Amino acid sequence: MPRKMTINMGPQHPSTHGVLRVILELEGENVVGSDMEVGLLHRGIEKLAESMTYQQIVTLTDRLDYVTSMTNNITYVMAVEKLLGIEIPPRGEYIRTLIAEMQRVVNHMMFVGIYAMDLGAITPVFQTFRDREIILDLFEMISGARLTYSFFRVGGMREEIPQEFFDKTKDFNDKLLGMIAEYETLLTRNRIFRARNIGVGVVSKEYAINCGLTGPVLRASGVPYDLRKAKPYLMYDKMDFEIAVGDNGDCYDRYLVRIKELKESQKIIAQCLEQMPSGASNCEDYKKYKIPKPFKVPAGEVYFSTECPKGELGFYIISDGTKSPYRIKINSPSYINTAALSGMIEGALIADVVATIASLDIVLGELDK
Amino acid sequence: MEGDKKLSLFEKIFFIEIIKGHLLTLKYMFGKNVTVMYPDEKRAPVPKSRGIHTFKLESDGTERCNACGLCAKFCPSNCITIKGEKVDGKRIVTQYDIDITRCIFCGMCVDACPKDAIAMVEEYEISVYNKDEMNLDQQGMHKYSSRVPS
Amino acid sequence: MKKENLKNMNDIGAAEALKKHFPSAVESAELVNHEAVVYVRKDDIKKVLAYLKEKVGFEYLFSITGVDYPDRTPRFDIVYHLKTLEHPLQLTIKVKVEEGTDVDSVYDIFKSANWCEREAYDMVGVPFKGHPNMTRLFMWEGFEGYPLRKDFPLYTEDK
Ligand code: SF4
Ligand code: SF4
Repeated sequence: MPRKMTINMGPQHPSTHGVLRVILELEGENVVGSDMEVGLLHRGIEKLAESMTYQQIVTLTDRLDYVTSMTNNITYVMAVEKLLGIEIPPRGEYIRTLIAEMQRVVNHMMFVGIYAMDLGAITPVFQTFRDREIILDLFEMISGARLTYSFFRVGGMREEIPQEFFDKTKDFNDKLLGMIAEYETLLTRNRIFRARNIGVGVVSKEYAINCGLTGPVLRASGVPYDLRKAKPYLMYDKMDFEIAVGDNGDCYDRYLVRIKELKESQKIIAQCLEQMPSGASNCEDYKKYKIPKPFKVPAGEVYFSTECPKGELGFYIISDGTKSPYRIKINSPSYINTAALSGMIEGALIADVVATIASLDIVLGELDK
Repeated sequence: MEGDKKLSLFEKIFFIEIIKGHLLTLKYMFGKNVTVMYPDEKRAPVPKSRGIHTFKLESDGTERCNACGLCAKFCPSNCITIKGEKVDGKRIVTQYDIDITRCIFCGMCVDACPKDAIAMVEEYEISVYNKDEMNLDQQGMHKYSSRVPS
Repeated sequence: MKKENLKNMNDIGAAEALKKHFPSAVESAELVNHEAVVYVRKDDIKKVLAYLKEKVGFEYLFSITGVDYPDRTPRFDIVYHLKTLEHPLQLTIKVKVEEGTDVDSVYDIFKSANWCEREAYDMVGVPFKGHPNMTRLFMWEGFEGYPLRKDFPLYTEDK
């Protein structure tokens, strides 16, 4: 009977993506039990939001998942818009769709790079960060910041987007498939990468649904559920794209799903640019919702979610008819995916724990709220 | 899924995928550098970058701000302190402090200002040795005023 | 309420069908700005959720929220969000809980309730009976008070 040993992985561990603490119980090198401690980055965003006006909360959503601020902004403002019953003109919706997809590209590029790095391959991270930089520059051009954009506002956006942005996006998008091909050359068929991935961290379909897993992790387990198709929002019902679905639910499938999504995003971006209508991009009475005048939101409640790069991000807002929400609940993908980690690493080797955590693509800022 | 199929014997023996990967990296060894060697080299921020705050001035060099306090009220992190007084029937600022350690550079103060009196310039190197210096006062708000059009 | 009928239903239709099936356990089913909100009696929550999962196909529980209404008795609402993966249907199920009492845990039906329930306990202080590890999730052990209660101060004086 081998002696059991308890080791502490994180919170200061390079591959726990922030400050996740995993307590592993080991027998030899096999994990027999695990527990997690989170909350080390808890900033009380939900509590803070109760004291802020609806416009100010946009800045808080930036700091949830700091890799995909744009989609967080979009989800939040759309939730408030649903509560207010505002309609956005088609151009505004197309711009949101376009930017959401660009943000997905950024996130998945970052995933591929960091994931490979966690598994010990250093080259892909340089490739992906080099390419990701192009989109960050584009976002900087429209919003003035490189990570925490605060670009979207209830009823519209901070400022108009110059034509130059669309032209440069088109240039980038034309090269995107070539970039993805490069990452694939480096990773997809590489035997070391495959050996570290195939059959590792397997999540069955039932377990995935029962744990409420979301995003690429859910789809890699063979559940074809994507909010963009299941409950189309923005302009996704006009777009022609496929959902990436895996079969085995292992780390390798989660990687492949994301690569496929990169390619699908490329298609959506191209369609958005092509169909981009002209006209107004903010709602009709945008003046009413503009800073610095706080606006009141009718009492009621709403749950709105979109398919963010990491999965379903939802805002549950309860309003009591004042300028600040009565309660906001943020339902974040990293949170729900990490909660299921214990079941995934049961019986795995320590090195596979690293691979599994990395394949979930979590950001602790979003987990701890 | 595609890409999922097993390595063929041919690939296995001749390390095809490894060679392809190495060729790719080799290609970049002779290409142009993409890394910017900060701090020796600096990347030019785009003109609209949200960096440090500055006052916009009238053409005669006076501040536009009339201490209405809307920016302070709207700042999500409550880091602006304003005091003003009335001189010759015109309100002027006597104290304008931004606590840079708390500022999140969201730009809401700029959006909120009805007089278009403040702006953010693309200056991003604002670290200092002493925490007390991380306070932007009225004087400091003039430092980059010449950079913004009045 | 059957799995096959879900196809032609909308949210509120599903909520009303649920009320018809459980006339005593379901207190009310109504539409609050686009959301189908169902109030369920506290003691029956486990029964209703198990039925929804096994018989109807609402198999995906993704959020449990605690909401504090200090002026109301019972004081708290626990909000469950459920959906089906096959159809675009979503239900908001609420139970009213009085301070000092607990709710049945649904961990043995939905594994996703594990952290969600711990978070709700951590934030508003409603314990869940039958949860294997009812401890705080985000706040540290020994933290006093429940941050998302309305009487918890946002700022405190620095000591
Ligand atoms: S940029 Fe944002 S945080 Fe900073 S002073 Fe202005 S409003 Fe406040
Ligand atoms: S900067 Fe603008 S908003 Fe702020 S006090 Fe001056 S005039 Fe008012």
